[in-house]
Amino acid sequence: MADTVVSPRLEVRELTKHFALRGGFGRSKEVVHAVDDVSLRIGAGQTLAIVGESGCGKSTLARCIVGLTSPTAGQVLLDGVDIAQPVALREHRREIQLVSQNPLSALNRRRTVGSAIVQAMQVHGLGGSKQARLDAADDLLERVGLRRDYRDRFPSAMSGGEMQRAVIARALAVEPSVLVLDEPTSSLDVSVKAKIVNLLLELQRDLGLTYVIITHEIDLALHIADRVAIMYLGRVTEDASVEQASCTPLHPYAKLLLAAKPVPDPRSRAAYVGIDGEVPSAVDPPKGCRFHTRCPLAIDVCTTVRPDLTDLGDGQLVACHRAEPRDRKGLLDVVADPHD
Amino acid sequence: MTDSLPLQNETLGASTVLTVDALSVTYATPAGPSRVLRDVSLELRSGETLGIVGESGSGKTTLLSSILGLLPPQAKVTSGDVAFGARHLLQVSAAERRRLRGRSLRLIPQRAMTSLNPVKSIHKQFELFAVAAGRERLSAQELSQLLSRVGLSISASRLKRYPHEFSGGQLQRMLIAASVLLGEPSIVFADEPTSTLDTTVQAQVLDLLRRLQAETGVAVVFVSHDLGVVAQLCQRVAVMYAGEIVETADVDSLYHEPQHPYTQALLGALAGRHQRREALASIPGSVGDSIRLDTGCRFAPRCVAAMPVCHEELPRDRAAGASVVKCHLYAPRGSDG
Repeated sequence: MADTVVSPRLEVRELTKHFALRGGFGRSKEVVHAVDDVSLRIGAGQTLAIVGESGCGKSTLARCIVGLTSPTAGQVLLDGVDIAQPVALREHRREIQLVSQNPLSALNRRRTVGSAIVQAMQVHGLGGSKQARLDAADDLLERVGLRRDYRDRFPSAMSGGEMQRAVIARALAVEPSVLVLDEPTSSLDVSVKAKIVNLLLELQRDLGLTYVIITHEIDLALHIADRVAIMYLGRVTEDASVEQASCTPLHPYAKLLLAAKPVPDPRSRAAYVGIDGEVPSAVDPPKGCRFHTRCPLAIDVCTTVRPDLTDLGDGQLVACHRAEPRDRKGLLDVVADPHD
Repeated sequence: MTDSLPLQNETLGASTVLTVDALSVTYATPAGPSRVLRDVSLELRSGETLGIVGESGSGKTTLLSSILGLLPPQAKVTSGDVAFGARHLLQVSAAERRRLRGRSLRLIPQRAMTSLNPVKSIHKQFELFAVAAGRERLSAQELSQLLSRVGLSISASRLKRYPHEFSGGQLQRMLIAASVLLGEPSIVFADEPTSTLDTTVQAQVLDLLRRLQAETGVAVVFVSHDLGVVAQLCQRVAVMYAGEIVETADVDSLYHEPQHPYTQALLGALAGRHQRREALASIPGSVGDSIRLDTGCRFAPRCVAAMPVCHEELPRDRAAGASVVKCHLYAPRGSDG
């Protein structure tokens, strides 16, 4: 499904975000290259998962998409309108809502869940009278699987899973069409996680929502998404359909990341002969391909020339000098195939 | 990339290095005493890696703390015994326990960064570890060599640096070196040692643990909420729910023929066991206050197979398949007492 997105609901175009660090004694100003020239497209009602390890820029990208941080360069287009600019209309901002990483810090602990929901509606002038807003809050709570009496609860009287539901209810209060979910299940236990995943699937089916899911949980991404974008040090290394990403990943980093996921089955135990070392600093990222310092396949060109995302067949976009089209058995078979 | 590893040798018949017998621990809370461990029994065999799996609040960290004598003051052991060789750990003096923690019983903590002293250099801290382990001194060269066994190449001069100058993955490797390779530990307790690490770093650290365990033959108790990590690392697994061990089995049987309804539900909730975008199976209800339940099985309120007896009588350990489970489903008809 949706190997190429014809007219995207949401498009990120050449987005770059740099943060300046204060220079210390005898040091020049340093720049963190958090997100560098990232382009992504998501069709209406689709789910894009942005996957990567810490420091890859996925949360910064999420904040740029919802307008909490303005990008250094590039655009975030919602139905063709740039919403990344500070002058973007509140109306457009309403359309896209963030469900942030930690539900406890996302809620004001001195505010009941009901008043948090009502406040979101007030800001956008939705819901009409006070009573109408309270009624709408009740409906939203029920919608996300909380009893109506949770309206008067404070975050401290709720479990992690319940708080996550409340945060989702508040995001839905302003009737958005796009939800950006930053690590929606990472702080939750297995059995609670399953319920939040089910809620997200159900809401998308019923309300036709478009999702951008930021996660380091590969299982979640492969279960819930249509497309997966794998980031490394501020750049997208591979942008593929879930089938492509899970069966035939082509970028060496994508392969190694997928192979590193511990499979919950003792019969598929694997020694990890993957990458050594850790992600280099985003202050002075490697030239050329940013993965070349750890890549088992790197050659000279990788250290100097930056690879661009290229369609290697059926809309599978890969940024790698060594990757070959899918129908050809290439060099990459010497690296991992997680599905052996 | 994936050379299949053989499942570890049968550990049956191996000698027992640690026995926990009917351990109960109660916490004093504003809402009254809470029995966070109820009748927990387990056996650690020499040379094995035993996984302890459970969701938050299941008591897995309390279990480790009780064994190591690290319980907070509001916790009280109300019954039970922990036997390490001829020693009964709940009876030994605080000084003796401290000595044991330095030499024989080691802990790999969850967060490497906050477990090291931020104002002491790496070398200084290892010298303290060495003294606790019963060695006289540890030269920079010896330490450098020791660290190379966990895949770190750190020159003698860099050992004078402080913890914040190293990454989380490097610090976790250092702590693993300190707990597994210094002196001769009998048991290494690992409390979610990879849960704060990135996926690729976690895979490296798990590989390291597997290799060191094979090299040294130390017994490992590995506590985790991550069913993937446990499947990759452990030979036997104990599943905890609300302060009880509900099922114990060898790793293959546990993942392929789980017997306790909770284990079945937990494994059934994994995304990998579903079609893409299919609703995940989930466990009804929540743990809630089941930690306060004192009659019957604590999982009964959420169990799809619960019978009247489950709410009334404590289930006892019984053999079922290749597992030992605490569940009335496997009681011989008409008697469980």
